[in-house]
Amino acid sequence: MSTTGETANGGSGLGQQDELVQRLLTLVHAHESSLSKMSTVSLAASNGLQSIQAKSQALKKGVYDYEENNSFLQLDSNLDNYTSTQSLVAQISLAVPEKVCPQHIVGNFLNTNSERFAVENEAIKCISALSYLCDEANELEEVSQSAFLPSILMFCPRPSSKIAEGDEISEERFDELVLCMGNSMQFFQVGLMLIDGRFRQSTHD
Amino acid sequence: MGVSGNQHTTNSPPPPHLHPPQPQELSNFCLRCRRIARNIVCQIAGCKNDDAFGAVHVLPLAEALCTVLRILITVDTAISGNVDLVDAWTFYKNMVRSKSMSAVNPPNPEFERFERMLVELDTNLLSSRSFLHCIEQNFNAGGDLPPARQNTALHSELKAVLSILYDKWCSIINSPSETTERHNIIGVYGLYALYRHIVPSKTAPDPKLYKRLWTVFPHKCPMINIIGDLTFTPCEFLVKYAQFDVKGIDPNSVQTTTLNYAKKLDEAFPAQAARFQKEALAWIALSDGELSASARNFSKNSSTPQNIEMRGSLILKGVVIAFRASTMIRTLLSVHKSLGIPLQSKLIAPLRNLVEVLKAIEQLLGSRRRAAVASVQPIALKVCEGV
Repeated sequence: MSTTGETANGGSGLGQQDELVQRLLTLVHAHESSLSKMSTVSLAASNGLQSIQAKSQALKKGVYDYEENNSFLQLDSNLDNYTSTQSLVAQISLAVPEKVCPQHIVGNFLNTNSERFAVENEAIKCISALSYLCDEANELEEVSQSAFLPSILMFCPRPSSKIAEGDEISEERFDELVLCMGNSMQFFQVGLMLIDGRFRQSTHD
Repeated sequence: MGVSGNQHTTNSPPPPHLHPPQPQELSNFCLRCRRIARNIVCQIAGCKNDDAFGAVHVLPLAEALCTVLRILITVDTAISGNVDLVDAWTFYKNMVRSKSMSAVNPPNPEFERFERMLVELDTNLLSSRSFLHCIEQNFNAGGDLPPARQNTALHSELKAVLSILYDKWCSIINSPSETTERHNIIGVYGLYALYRHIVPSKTAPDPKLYKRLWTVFPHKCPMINIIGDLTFTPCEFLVKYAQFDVKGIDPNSVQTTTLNYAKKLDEAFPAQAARFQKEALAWIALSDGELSASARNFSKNSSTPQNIEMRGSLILKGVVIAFRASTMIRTLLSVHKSLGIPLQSKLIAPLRNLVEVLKAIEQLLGSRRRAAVASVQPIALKVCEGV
């Protein structure tokens, strides 16, 4: 891509453009990653459920000042030192990894004295099972984004190698790529099991 | 993974996202791909078999199914889109085959096992067919439920949920509140392919539904950036996995439609980016003050419902702006890269401005983190209470 001319034409220009576009995409992706990392939601680590219940009750009573009532939200006076060792309660995320067991949340609505207790109990079991499935799907996406896809996308010869992108099938390129593939076999083997569901089975057997 | 590890030959440790995936993590992932898709389809079939659900559609389950299918589509696209990986795999197979053929002694059992593993790898993962294998698996739930191919209640439910989700997400595309809807729609297309595989081949597909899938979303956005420089083209996906000849639809027109879209995008981008930058600047100016560590925000009166709502909505608006800026940049770049269209110089400045917007939002939320955290958590609890 030419920043001086109107457009970049010709073979080398297109190559440069591809490279620049690739860099820009990487840059945007990096920004997105850092933004979502910064804004990852994690409900309070050890006693999330109890905290939620306590806060919900406080809300019902119209009390919004959590910092005063208890130590649920412990903010450090230093704005920049908000680390994971402190009581980081919540940040923002549009895809929240669920940290609370669904049946615990649903169980709050269960009235044990109700005549319909048995029916409600069955319903809660169903909702819990379905909630777990949905939760699993979300977590699956988290794992694929953080562990699986970057490794596939980053598969390439070493930068120090002498072969260039688009090089013909030379002996050097052959050797380099075969070496890469050999090094990656373990990853792909696990990846295959991952896709297939056999890793879990084999460990159980 | 050696591939990524090769990029860090110095003593410094590689960044965390380049570490090879741990087997335990991957085993969890494994459990949740093909099996979870099957499980969800069986659960939907079970729900519709029970009168208790009546006409209620299990949309959260359908959304989860879309997520799983989207992941598999992404994995397939990532593998097939990496030329080095495809070449390396071909070379590696050839090398192993030549070693196998040149062996004089009777085949070693270990080597045979290794070869079998390579065949499995080739079939299920590295041939970019994991999505196809998923939708072609056996979805029969067993028990009292009829087989998936004969379960008309399941067929109509799948069709209903995919229509609902498609309309729901399409209505948000290009609107001010759009965030992840473009990516979610990839899963709907995957769900349609799955639906077509479950429905018996003798049953004619619904032409209206196919036409909607072909026209509504692709007219708004004929190409989506998935991750990195990988793209998803809905019409090409339909042709590949669920082709159906419908009057008025020309499968050869996909390229022309995308080129026209790219031209329009180029023309509209500078003005859109300028308008967007103003909107982002207004947000930054407002939130810089409202989220500052002032007495108003952290005094005893700071937790009034009005304050909480105001700060919460402000933060969410910032996140939405960031998503929209990112979507605009990625769409423009990926369309140009995929179609091989050179970027015009007039697009560079707007692109830079949008990247600055992203950085500014990130920086501002980072510097106002205390206020952000303190605001979002009560808002989340209010939502919990509302539910």
